[in-house]
Amino acid sequence: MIQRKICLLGSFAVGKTSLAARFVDRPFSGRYLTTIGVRIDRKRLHLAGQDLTLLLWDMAGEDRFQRVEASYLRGSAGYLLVVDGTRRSTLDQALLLHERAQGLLGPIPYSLLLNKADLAKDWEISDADLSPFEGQGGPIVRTSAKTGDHVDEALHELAHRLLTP
Amino acid sequence: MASSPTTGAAPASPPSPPSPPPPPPVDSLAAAVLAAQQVLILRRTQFGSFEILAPAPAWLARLATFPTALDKPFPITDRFPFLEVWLPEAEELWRSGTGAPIHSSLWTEPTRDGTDLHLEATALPLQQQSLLLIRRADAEHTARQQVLQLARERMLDHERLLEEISAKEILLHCIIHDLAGPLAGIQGCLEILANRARDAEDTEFVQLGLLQAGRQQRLIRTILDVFASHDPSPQAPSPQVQPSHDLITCVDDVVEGLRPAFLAKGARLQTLRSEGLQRPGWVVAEASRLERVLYNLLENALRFAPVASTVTVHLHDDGQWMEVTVTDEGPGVAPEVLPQLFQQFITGGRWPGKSGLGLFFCRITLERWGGNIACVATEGTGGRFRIRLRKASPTP
Ligand SMILES: Nc1nc2c(ncn2[C@@H]2O[C@H](COP(=O)(O)OP(=O)(O)OP(=O)(O)O)[C@@H](O)[C@H]2O)c(=O)[nH]1
Ligand SMILES: [Mg+2]
Repeated sequence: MIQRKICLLGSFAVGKTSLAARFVDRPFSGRYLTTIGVRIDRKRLHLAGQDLTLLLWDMAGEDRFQRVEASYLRGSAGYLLVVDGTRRSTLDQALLLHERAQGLLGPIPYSLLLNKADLAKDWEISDADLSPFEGQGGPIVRTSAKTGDHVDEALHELAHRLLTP
Repeated sequence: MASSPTTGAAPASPPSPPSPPPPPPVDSLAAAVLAAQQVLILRRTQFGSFEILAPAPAWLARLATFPTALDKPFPITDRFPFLEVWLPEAEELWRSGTGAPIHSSLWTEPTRDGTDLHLEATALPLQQQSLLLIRRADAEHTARQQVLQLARERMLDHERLLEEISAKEILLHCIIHDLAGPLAGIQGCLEILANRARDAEDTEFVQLGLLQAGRQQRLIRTILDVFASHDPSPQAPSPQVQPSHDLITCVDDVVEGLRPAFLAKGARLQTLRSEGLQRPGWVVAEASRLERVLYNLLENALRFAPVASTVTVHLHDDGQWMEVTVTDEGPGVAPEVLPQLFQQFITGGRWPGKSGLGLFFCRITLERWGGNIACVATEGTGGRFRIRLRKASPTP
């Protein structure tokens, strides 16, 4: 059995816990319950003829009250950078976390998830805003933990890249 | 070649780790106490795997990764992957064999029944054993959760509020901008009419119309300027090229422009100059804004000036500053209003029919040029406002 660690990184309240819940088929809850420390979920996948267990490290959101501990990233095979598409500032935060993760782990696979895609009318992120992420090798996916749109696809796509380096 | 005698035949292989003494038996009462504490007690074996010492707490069976064959030592990170990031620290303590216990941070594991377990690990070297305790940390989790939750919800509310305010300001800005549009047309028409006026009465009405149109235009520009001032800090004088302007000419123009309005109200408007005042009086200021500052002060004075009273504009050069003082014979400014006089949106009985932006605009505009404004007389003595502008050399 192959096992890989994937971190969910991003500012607070962007939907990391909600996405993790979707990944493991727990129902979506509209209620916000901030994560303390880290929450670890397991997702079993059968990909390219192999059984794979993903350890999903759903990290506490970073802000001025709580910093993501660098040691928590240790051993990650990849990560999901999560942004709240209705809060522009969370994109800047994601860029900082991305730089920190690449500095610690090297150029490992990642994806940028622009979450809350169901809230199109409050959307605050334009294509131009995404330019720092262009050509960095990580796909940019619009997801909704609420409707489930592109959630599984994003995880499977990253898992594929973990298996075929 | 002589070979030196050797003492051993084979190169020394790394010594195998000394096996620790067997764990002492746990007294049954002590075991019961431990069980009641709901603590999972593990002992590190010499090979780095872990075995469960005392009876396992009930919560363990709820974890999705348990139970399997628990009677044999197992790799701890298979069961608790979180420990991977903390174990190196614990290993160091166990290797040293002494020292105070160390604790991991909190982490959360989902259970089979869909609830969460909040856990904390402790490393403890005791009687030559490397012990690892894992316990539920619900109380700590709840305490931290409540504090952080509140802080973050407030931050989200704050972000939302700021966004709402900025959206409203943009809307207001657009509305005011649009209101200014037709004014230029109205003024143009009035100017044509002024040239065609048939008699003195026509002329008077047209002039009044022009005066009011001019006032409205200045009011709108003031509001737009105040909006624009929200971005850069109004505290420091702007570091860019400082324009200069002749204060004396500017005062004369404004006084002339307002003379008809004073006439209409039956109030007098006079200008005094200190002895030795040199023309031109160059100051750091931008012409159109300086005019609006003066219009604001004089229109305020006019609003409070009783019939048949006099409003005096006094120009003075104190060596460092050029000063303009505007004095009326009205009721003056109540002391309780003074502290907020130059803030945004002050209104109330004292300032009927005002947008509450005029004096605020004066203050931020003057401060940007390194000047200032003050109210130098209080209730009972009439209103008196003094502005000070930095002296300048003429703009090339
Ligand atoms: N409309 C909508 N709401 C979402 C979506 N994803 C998450 N939310 C809501 O956003 C809030 C925050 O979601 P969480 O999943 O707790 O966010 P988080 O990133 O784990 O937050 P922290 O643990 O504090 O870092 C909750 O109220 C969710 O219901 C989404 O795709 N659409
Ligand atoms: Mg969370």
